[in-house]
Amino acid sequence: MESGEINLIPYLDIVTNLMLFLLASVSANIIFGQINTTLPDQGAPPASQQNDPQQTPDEQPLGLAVAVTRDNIRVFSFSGLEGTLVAPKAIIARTGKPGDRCDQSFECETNKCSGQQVCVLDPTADVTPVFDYRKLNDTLAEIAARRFDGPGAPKFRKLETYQAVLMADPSIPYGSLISVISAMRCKMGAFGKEVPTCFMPTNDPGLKAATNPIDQDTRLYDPDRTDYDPTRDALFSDVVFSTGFR
Amino acid sequence: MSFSQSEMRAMIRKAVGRVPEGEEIRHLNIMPMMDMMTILLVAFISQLAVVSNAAATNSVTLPATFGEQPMPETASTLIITKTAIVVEGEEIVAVRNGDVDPSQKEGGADGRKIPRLTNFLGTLRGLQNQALKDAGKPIPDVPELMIVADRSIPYGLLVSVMFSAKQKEAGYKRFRLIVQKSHPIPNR
Repeated sequence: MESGEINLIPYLDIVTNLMLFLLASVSANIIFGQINTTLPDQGAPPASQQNDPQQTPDEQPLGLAVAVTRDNIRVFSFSGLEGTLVAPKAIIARTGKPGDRCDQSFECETNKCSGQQVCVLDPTADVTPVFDYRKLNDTLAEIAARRFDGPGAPKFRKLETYQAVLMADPSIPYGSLISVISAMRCKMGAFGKEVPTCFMPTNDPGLKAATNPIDQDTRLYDPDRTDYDPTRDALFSDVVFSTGFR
Repeated sequence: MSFSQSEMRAMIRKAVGRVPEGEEIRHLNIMPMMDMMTILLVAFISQLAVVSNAAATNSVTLPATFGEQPMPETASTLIITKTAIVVEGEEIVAVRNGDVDPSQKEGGADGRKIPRLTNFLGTLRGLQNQALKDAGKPIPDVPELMIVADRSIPYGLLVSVMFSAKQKEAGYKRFRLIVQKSHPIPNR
């Protein structure tokens, strides 16, 4: 026998290979995000959500609702200021069929968008309803800009006006809902263009006491001290889940 | 302390001279490297085990979205897969065809509350609050629940889960829906 030393080279080979494999699988370019939401209590709306005859229409909560069915999305308001259930502000059609234009996977029923910006046919994929999210986003951005940034709008947009109700058919898949919520919250970028995450309003006491009402790191702002800009700030960020159609 | 160029050359020559040319280095100490590699390996394996919690119970395909907020601090995690509702790694109720069995719901097929889930979340929150109290940390005023769900899960099941978690016994008031951030395909 040459020496009594243990040969560590095979061990090192195994460990190095395992390390490379684990590193590659951990850094698989997946970035997670989050959406905050609540499920409303049943009963009368809170005082902050009730219309006050003393307030101007632009200061009153719109009671905006986005109703998602299997066939389309209807945008209307409980207050009647932006359409009603019978005469909605907008009706958003379904899209995302194979061959339709897309720039992100969630714009396709099969959740697959090719490099040529076209939805891909995939018989093995879970097919989920997809709607014209860009049109929904444009509709909500127009409402937010007109009501809270246009001529005669109040200087600062009130926090309660950021609320919108999401109603959905119980069979609508979660993936479709997330896409609708995303389109409700922030202004989408132009087709094929990435935009930075929009700023969200908050009542956080730390930010209220801060000199600068906008926190660039957390992407939050104090709505009572910030001029509303619908291209930079949230549209309807406080999405409340309705318990369904009744 | 500074060295002139000639002094540096002499020092390098001296250092090189310590190892005779052609002689094998026999006593390279690789123990620190092995220690480090082993620690890293254990850390990666444990991290992978946590991340693949959902995968272990059945794969979850997260819905993609654009421009969402970054991940928050740790909160209780509930996972809804195509076959089960899992809380902190434990399967609570089975899911079949996008819904919980009516026998598991209060009020049957039309009911929303899943008592088993409510009770489990209530117990879990009690334990977490006790742990925070023992550690001298503040108990959150508004308890939050992180929900990780497969993109094909119906809205009805999501509402049932949120409704069950919001019951007084469980007491979760706010929910964070975890999504996967997607990026647009650039124009050519």
